[in-house]
Amino acid sequence: MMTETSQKGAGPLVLVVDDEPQIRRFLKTGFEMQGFRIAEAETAKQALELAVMRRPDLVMLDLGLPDADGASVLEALRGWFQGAVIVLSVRSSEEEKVALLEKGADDYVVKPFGMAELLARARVVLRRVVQPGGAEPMLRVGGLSVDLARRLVSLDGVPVVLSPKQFALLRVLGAHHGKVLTHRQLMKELWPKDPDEDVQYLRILMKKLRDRIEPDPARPAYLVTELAIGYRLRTQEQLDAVGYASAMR
Amino acid sequence: MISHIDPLAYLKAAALVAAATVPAVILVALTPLESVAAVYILPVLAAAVWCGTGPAVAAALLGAVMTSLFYPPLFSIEVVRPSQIVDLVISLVVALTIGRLAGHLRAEMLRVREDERRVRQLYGLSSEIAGAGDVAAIYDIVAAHMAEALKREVVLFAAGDRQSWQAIGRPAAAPHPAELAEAARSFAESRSHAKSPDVSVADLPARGRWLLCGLGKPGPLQAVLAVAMGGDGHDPSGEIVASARFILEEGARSLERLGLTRALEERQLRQRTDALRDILMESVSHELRTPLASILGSASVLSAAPAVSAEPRLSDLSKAIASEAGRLDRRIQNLLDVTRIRAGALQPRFDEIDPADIVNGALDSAAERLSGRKVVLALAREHPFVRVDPILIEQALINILENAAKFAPEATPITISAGVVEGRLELAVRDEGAGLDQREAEQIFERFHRGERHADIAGGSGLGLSIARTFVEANGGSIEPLSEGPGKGTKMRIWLPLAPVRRIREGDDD
Repeated sequence: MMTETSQKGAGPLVLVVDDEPQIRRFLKTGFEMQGFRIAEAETAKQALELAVMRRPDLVMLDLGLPDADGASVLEALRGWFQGAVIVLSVRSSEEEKVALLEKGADDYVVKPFGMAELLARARVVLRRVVQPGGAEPMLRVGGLSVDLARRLVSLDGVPVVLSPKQFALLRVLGAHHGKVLTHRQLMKELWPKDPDEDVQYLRILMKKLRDRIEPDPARPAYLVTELAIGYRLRTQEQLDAVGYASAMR
Repeated sequence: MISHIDPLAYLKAAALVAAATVPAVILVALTPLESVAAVYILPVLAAAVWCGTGPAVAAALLGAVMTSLFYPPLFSIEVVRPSQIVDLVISLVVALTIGRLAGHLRAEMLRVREDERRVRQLYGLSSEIAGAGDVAAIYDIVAAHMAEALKREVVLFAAGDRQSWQAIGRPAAAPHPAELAEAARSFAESRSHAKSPDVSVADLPARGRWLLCGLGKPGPLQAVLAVAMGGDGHDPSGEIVASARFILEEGARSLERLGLTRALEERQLRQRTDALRDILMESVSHELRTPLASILGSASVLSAAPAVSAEPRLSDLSKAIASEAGRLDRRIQNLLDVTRIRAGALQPRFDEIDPADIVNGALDSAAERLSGRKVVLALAREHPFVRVDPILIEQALINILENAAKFAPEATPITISAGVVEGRLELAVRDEGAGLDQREAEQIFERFHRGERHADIAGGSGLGLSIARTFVEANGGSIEPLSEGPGKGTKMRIWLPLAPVRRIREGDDD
């Protein structure tokens, strides 16, 4: 069964790949309410066919498909597919998440999830697709602003001085603003000569960067840790979603 | 080899010599025999074969005396002719030599016979043991063989509960002094510590001497055999100790083989169980969580729909559906975690990590359940990394935070602090809630325990804290509740191992 909506309009097209009809149903309603267009597939085969025919902007990929492993769909897509991919995964599989991110998934969402969380992730990864080349030259989140071109960073309007390595880390995360990057992906960018170097270097560098740009380094608001996976520079939308008020202090 | 003199054997030798005199007299009467020395060689040979070297020598000497009686003058030990003296000396030397040789031959024959007996016995022992299906049967067989081989009373002791050693076994645990059990225990203890001998002698005042033999696989002793040596004050002879050792070794080998077989069987069973459990967990996880994912997702879509969000009562309902679905999902996760713990399938993935990252991860995950609460974060600005599985410790911390949120009034703050104490990281979650009395402090980690005082207000299965403790302990840490008493709040202290200090290359930064 292949279904797809034929709504008129220029909203981004989302291909939902999941064998559970109830999941597809709420995803369809939730996305359509926000002006997205939807295509649905319930098997890996359908998913690849629809991806070729419809060229969706975003694929929501469930890992437990009846005919193939979701990871193999990702591999097949990544050869040519330019759109974004968000993986729907279950808990307790951090290694799998890391493997999928490194195989080219843009992000993952752990089941069960709320629509608001998913939409926030979807918007972040779609921005990359809509603006090829990646990052905006100017990043703003909370009191932090980063001018990537001019290498200027300020917190609440006060300029912050970063070491070249600290700025490099901020720039990589900023280039994938809102996306989680695995430790290995970051190591490759920051230490291209020896990306297999001790991940502790990255952790210490992150600690120092947080000391400079986080209002409260003990409770980072912008540079968040995804345990056992990597780091993410939150977008304003993500920051608002977690309700990051000063209530925590 | 001749340790004692058996007068009976010498009497026998004398009787043999006397018996030889009869044919000697007949021979002398019938024929004019020059010498009867040859006749007296016969009793020497017979004495050597039947009675051993000593009696044979005695028979030779006695034979020489008797021979001299038959020289003329007849029936007097007087020897007159030089040729007769030569004859007598030669036949004495021959008799002595034959006697000694035959005696040695006899000893050799006896040794072979004894060896054969021992081999037969051992063969019987090992074939009997081969049929034994469990450890207790092997103990019994070894004890019975020991009693038979040594022809002495044997009492078998095995380690019981609470470090006491009890007499067990087939010979209905023959009456034995109480001190013997104590001696067996201390012998077993001394052997488990050092490489002390596997056999030792216990001298019980007024209860005689006992030979204590350790029985078991390499490692701590599982059983001790006590062999009664009587009260004669002699140390057990080397022979007894050697044959005891022989039987013990055979028993130990069989126990080892039995242990290997059992370990192999257990491993196969375990592999099958693991596979089954994995399938079950996966299917439970999938079957229960998929509908929940639909419910939670659908409710979240409803909450965002204009028709619902415009009507606060409806929006509250749809939010409640979502949050209850989330709660159910966490309960399922708890059950899966418990299954994993009980199956022994908990395998931490150790990483060296900033404890602040774990705390922040837990706060983010529990954000919804902590909403409206003041959480005070009192982390030191610089703290060392810990070496733990971050996901397990995060889950433990979430459970502890949830527990604090459940039992402390909403207006009171929850404080999280961290610091290094005595080479470990102390992570503490403090609430100002109901606190704990002594008994509760001891019980809260027990599975399914939920404070009686709160039975009606708090939901949850009471699994959270016991899961937290298991996760922390699996990471080489420990967890300890502190409360000054009911109504005075609770402080949960989690101790985590620090990561080894490493030299980090300079020059990459700053």
